[in-house]
Amino acid sequence: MTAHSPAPLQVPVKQPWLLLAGIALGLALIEAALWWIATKTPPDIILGVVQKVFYFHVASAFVMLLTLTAAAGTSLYDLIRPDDRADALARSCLEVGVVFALCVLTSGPLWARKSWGMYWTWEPRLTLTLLVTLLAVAVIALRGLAEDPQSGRRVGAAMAVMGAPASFLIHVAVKWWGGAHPQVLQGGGIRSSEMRVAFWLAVAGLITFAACMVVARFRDLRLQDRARSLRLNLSALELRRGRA
Amino acid sequence: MSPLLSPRGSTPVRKPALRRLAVGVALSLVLPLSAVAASTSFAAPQPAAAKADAPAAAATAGAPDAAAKAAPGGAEALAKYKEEPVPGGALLLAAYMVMWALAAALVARVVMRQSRTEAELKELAERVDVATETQA
Repeated sequence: MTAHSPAPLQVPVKQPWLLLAGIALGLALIEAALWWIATKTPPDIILGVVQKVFYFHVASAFVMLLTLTAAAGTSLYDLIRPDDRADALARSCLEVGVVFALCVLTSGPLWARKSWGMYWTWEPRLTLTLLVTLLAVAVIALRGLAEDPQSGRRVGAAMAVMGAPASFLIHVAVKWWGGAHPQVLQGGGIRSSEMRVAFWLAVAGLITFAACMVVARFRDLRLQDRARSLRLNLSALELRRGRA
Repeated sequence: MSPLLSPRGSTPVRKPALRRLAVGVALSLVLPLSAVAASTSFAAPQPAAAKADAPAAAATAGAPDAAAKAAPGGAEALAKYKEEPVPGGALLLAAYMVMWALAAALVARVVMRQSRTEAELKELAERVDVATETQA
């Protein structure tokens, strides 16, 4: 399968029960995490309840890094061996990654308002997160606006690959360059068992939910490939009929 | 069914199922949020029982004093932070509401696009059927 040939007609169109079950599991885990956060976890001695932003903020950051790294990996594969499925997977991961990046970029400043006394500071991790998000948004916009879809696809894939080092730098930013951002997991971990349970429930729930959203979006993109292929076949049929 | 559609492609996702999914997801995201908002943790930021867990809890706080000192505007920001009462519960609620709104928007967008694509596929399959029959 090359980037220039029509899409194959191998799309999982049947009712994706596994996907629905995955979404249900993800939501159940998220709800369990919310219940645990509301009833079991103690409020922070210094920050009070606003510390509870931590559970879903960090879990969203996990999902963001995972999806953007997956997008970079599949984009690299698509650049080396053009494959419509890899392209669709990269686009799905990128779109879901941007949503979770926005979650990180909105919940973080709300926590920072109480913790640091300001919504935003240009410290390394925050700045890199903003840059990676803008890069991902740029790739999505490029894919949507490019006049030549194949050129847009290749340039977009290259940009997504270039975002991978930046995602890694977000992970190590505080360790390498310092900054105000706290390092809870890398700096000794969570000591309270109630907090640990809430955090890992949130991580599991968001990862499951995000994976299902990636699969759903991937399925949609493959269906669009099928529609494109059908349109080509229809044009060929109509052309033949016209000649006859 | 058109020969151009594989047998696997003949059963698109039923729209009612998708609608049910969208409504279910929206409710699942909104109801727990209401429960969290109603929980006593918003009303009482510092219950006495929580003091026992204070060191552990403080471990996740990100040491605001140190952070404020390290941030641009250091001492000034710290002084402002200590003087200014910031409503933590409102910030927490805002953070969760924004996150759920984004998640719900993602679900809605995926469901709507899928419905649109499936409708288009159905229409195309019918047109291909007609074209094939006419040719035959």
